[in-house]
Amino acid sequence: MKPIYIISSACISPQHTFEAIDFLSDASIVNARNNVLYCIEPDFKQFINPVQIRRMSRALKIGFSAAMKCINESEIKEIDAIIIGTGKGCLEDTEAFLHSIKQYHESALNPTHFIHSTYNQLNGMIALNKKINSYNVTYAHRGFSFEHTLVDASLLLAEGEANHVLAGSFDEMTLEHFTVKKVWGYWKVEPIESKDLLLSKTPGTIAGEGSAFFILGNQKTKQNQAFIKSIRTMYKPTAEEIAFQIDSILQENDLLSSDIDVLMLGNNGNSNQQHHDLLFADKFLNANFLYFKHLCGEFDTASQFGFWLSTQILEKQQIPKALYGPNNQHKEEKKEIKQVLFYNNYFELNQSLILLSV
Amino acid sequence: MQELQELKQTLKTQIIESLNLEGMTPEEIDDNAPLFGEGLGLDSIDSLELMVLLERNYGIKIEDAREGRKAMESVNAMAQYIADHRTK
Amino acid sequence: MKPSIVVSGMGMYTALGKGLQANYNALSHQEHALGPLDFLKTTHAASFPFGEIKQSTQSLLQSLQLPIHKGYTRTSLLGITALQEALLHAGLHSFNQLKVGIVNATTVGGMCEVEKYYFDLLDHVGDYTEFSDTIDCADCTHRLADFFHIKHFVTTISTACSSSANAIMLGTRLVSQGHLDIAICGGTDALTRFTINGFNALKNIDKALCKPFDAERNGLNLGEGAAYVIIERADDCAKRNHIPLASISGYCNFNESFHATAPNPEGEGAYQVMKRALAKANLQPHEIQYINAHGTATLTNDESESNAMKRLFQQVPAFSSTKCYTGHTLAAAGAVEAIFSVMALKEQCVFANLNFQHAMPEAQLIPQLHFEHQSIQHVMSNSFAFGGNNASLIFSKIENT
Repeated sequence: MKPIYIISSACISPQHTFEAIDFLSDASIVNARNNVLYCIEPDFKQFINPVQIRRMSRALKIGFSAAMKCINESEIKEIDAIIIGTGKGCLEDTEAFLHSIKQYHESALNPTHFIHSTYNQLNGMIALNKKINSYNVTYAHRGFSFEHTLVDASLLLAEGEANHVLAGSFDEMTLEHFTVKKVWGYWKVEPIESKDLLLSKTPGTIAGEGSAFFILGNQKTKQNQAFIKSIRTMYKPTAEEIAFQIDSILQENDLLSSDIDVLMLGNNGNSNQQHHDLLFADKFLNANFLYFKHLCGEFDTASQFGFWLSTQILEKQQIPKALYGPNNQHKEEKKEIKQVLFYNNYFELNQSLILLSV
Repeated sequence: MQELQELKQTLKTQIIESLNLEGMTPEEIDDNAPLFGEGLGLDSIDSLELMVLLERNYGIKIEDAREGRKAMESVNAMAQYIADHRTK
Repeated sequence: MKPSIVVSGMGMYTALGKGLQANYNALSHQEHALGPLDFLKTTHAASFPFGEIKQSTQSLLQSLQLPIHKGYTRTSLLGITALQEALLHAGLHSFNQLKVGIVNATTVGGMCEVEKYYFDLLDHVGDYTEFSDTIDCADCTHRLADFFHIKHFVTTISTACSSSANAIMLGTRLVSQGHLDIAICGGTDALTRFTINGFNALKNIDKALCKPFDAERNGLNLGEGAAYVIIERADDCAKRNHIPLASISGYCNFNESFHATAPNPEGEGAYQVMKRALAKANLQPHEIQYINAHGTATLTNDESESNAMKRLFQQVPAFSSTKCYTGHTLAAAGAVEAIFSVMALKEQCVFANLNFQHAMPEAQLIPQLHFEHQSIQHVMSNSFAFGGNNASLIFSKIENT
């Protein structure tokens, strides 16, 4: 695979990632309350005009603002594709429409909630607002939603069908959806502190939400620019299959496991799922193990946050302490952070590996 | 006559609420100004939302989108349409 | 040199019937399948005609010999039934060492079941656990992947009414670039109260049978269905001694960025997407002999699509909308109509556009009015959606050598 460069990015998350001056400093870390992490909302009016904003629900505002900031900062004039991933789309609208069907007995219903419940709403809005007449697709596949935007972007770039692709994802957590998933056992019963999440020995995890967007291209545009080298998505893989794919990525890029400087892991503290800690610990002796889900919570497109962090670490050559593992174990500060291997595990169903470099 | 004035006032509040016209006051909506396009800048989805408003608050069911658009040309037109057709 | 990509198998289940043959029979006899609902409970059951598949969810489960209370939604079951036919049709009895992936499409996923239990779930009453987690689009795709042991690539596209056309496009690209040997592409959507009320809130459902491209058209009829095509490289297909059905010669996805739900009346997006698909196929407009139009019969779509066809084709070829037979099957529509397009190539025929009386005064276009056999080399299939998402696919006849 040809390198895919990250030309610009923007990330709205439960942490100060959108307008942050410091990069996840200890003092800035936001902790989960009642097992959920909600996004720190920017001033949406900076990004959305008053006529549009009045109909947009929270998820759209968050996704739209992240996409706008990413586009504006890229200084790219022509975007050739918009590819967005979302596991659940605009949940608030879906829920509102379900309620109104019941409340008003299937008559005189507000169309806006229905329109916004369609998964490709954000795609359309960004295209409309930025007049991007081009390839435009939405992936709605739980823990692969974000990863498959990258896969599609890599195809488009390889085909020569695009030079610059806007790829990103969004998901929101509503109170109602939190309750629904609580019934299904997704969240921990006992309230847990973010910092204790990864050490937890109980079932379930904490909920989260967010949006991250990236302008991707196949030409390097600046110094110290992060780029993607390989992507794998694995559906219900066994430990052997994960190990096989890791080896295949290393081989594809002519790397040894000792070349990996950072492992960015999507552990979520759920005792009901395999985290394959040993597999990684045995294989990557030189790497710093970093974690991100205690800072963003678990959601369908949580990998966007870990991926965004990986790009920032590579470009800033700096690792925020908040990402170090539960026991604050980390290897000596290295001279250079060159290779980051990202691994996400969405409730064992959807798992992914992405190799990034700088 | 006064009834129609009151109706217009209520209607403006309902329009602002239903379309989420944040920061707008009833006084800012001109009785005669077109609601769509030029005037308030509303679009076809707003017209559907206004039809929901008519049905829920005044029991007026408009089946044809084109008729709806005519009934909702301005606050004046809408108020008159309500006065003529309301069932509640 | 890009490899030639072919469709090597197809399978479907629509209101017209289970399987390719039932669907072709209905189309060739000009018999639609729209009428009142028997299974889905809604206050609109008798107010609009629907393309409902006349098999209960229970019976679908039984015919697939799947266990009850295991969360198989109607959407999943329709999908599995259609995909079973497609794999058989493609002669794929096992995948062996092949890299097989599924690109599925759906707009509401398991909403057909979730909407029945949602409020019990919120109130913690009754039995609501079976369909936990089917509210999203991925559930039905996972069910398909598990049933058929597909592991290599599993994804779901959801771009409203163009979803499965986009799925076919992605599958073609994945196979073309060698990421997959076999791409299983299509979509599935069951009728739901959610969508019926949604389209009703948009005031674009016709109370009568829909009349695509007619001056008096007044909206769409909703349907349900599932349809899948098997996509592979022509040489791989030849190697396993299987005769392909058609080649996928052109495709395009193009967003016209005009409006959240309405197309540009001038048909700019529809024009661009058809033009670009032709360019991709290296074909001139006059080489297309049949267009399976999007033709929802809404006021705006048909006006926009007509204008685009008039602008692109000096002489508009035979065209028809088959949504007047099946209803608009949403995420499945792109694949349903791709299959009808391949059927047109295989059987050398064009399908009739039903319920047409008067040409639109502006466009003056008359669709194909009768089922007819004709010589056909290249067929175009259009799918347009909310959010300005336009897709166009071109299928070509494979010459016997």
